[in-house]
Amino acid sequence: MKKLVRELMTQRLCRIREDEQIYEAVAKITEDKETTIACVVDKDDRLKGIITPKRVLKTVAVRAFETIRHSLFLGPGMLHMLATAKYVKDIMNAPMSVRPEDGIEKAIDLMLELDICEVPVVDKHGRLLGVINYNDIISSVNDYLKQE
Amino acid sequence: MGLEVYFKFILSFALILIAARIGGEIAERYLKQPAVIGELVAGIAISPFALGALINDPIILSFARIEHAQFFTAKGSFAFEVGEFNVMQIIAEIAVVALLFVAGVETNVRAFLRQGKTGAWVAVGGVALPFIFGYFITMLFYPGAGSAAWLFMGAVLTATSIGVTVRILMDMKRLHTREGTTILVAAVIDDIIGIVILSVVVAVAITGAVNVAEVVRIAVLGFVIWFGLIMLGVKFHKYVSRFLLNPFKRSGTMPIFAILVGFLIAYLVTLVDLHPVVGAYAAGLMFAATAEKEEITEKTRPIMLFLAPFFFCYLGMQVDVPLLAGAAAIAAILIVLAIAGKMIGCYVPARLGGKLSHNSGMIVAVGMVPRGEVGLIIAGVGLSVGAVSRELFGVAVAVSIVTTLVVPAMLKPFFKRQVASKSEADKPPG
Repeated sequence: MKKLVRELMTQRLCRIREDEQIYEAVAKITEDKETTIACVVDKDDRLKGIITPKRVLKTVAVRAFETIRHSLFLGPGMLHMLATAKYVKDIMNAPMSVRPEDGIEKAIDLMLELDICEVPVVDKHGRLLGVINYNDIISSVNDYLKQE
Repeated sequence: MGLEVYFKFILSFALILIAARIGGEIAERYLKQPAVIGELVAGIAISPFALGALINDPIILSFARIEHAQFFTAKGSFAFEVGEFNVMQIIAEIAVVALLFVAGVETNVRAFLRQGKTGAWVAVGGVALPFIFGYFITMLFYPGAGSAAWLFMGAVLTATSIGVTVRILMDMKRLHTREGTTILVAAVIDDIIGIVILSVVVAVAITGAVNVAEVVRIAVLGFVIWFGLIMLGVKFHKYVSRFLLNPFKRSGTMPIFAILVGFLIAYLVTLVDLHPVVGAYAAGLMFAATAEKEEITEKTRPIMLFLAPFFFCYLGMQVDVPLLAGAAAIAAILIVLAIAGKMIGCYVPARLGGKLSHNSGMIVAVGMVPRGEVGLIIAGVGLSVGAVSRELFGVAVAVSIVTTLVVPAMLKPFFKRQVASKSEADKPPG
């Protein structure tokens, strides 16, 4: 089956500026419980990175709780970054996105690769247009599964 | 030689890794010490000089070599023969390449290129003095050991352990401070210096004499290669991603391919007489500047965590405790000088170059004391090329364990004194 990102993308998203402080970002992320990732943009609205729930949880765990400090999987480099970061740009994940004309399978690939439920959609200049999310994808595919 | 010999290596492999994990877990969870310490101690406990002797088998928990291994060509005709080789040594070699690759990928290359100046001064001071101390003290105690052994013991004392310092600073909530940043940058730089020194001392050990032209050639090559690979990563990361990483993204094996490139580069640098760890570390640094850094780190750490304990446990196994007891005097002196050398070597540049206060300078100086992975790697290589005796090797391991254990207690008074002038300490770095 063939479906394009354009058909499913939505404007409902969490948008954060890269020079905001982490606590400001957390406040924005918690505003809308439907959104799961935060899209980090610069002053021209170009996508600079994303913040995943996993990243926020790790930051919180390192800052506020003892447990994760002894996880060997985190490594000294990561531990250092999470413990000292002040601004959103210091903790964000590398940017990843799809374009409106991409097929939704590309969005699915990214979701699987990075364990996330939302993928930012950008135009050819990298400006944030919207997001495509897990719920919209599976509900659009469900009819196909029924017919099968 | 029957197949069961090879099967016994599997048992050995499993036993060493299980002992290492248990030791590491106990150290981390109950003693609040880095896992490396637990792995080393587990190795010492199961070594053929301790518990391993009870099994009384040349292969299980011992260092049996496979002798006269023969290699055949595809058609079955005899091709060549290797005199003897140690299977465990080969696994340890692979483990250390994986370890340094991951250490390289994790390095915050951009931050360290940006704010490296004070750190670089502190690192150089902290490398020079302990190196000189190690060299001359060993020469004093073991005049017959030869310049290769003296150089190795000097090199063992050079590199601060990043992993240990990060933990200690975090536990004391001092990672944010200017001192914390200085220590971390310096620890990164002295690792690089230590690894390049390793290549130099190996060359000296193999040729048997200090050939100045050769030393300069290797040191220059080492820095050129790692600087070249960092720059390749920083300036051309798009191409590194496009040609090396992207083709393997779809199948999800991109991080695995990255570490394989690390192994390949680790071998390639040996063609110009550098040690494989230089290549592994530099390859890691190259990937550290790409957008895929995080994914590579996250997915190759498990591989490293699987293998690296083998390396440290295997190192611990080489420590002959009764023999070490005989070298207690030099061990004690080297430990004291390892601490004093690092402190003086780091304090002076921190005060003069970094313009830190006395108290901050002392925090940097003490924070740089723990020696870990890189010092042990250097000692292990020294043992395997025959430049360092088993006795001196034991001393090197003791230095690394003791310098790690004493630091938290040594740091506390300086942090306490700093609480009074806290506002100054919490200023952001830079």
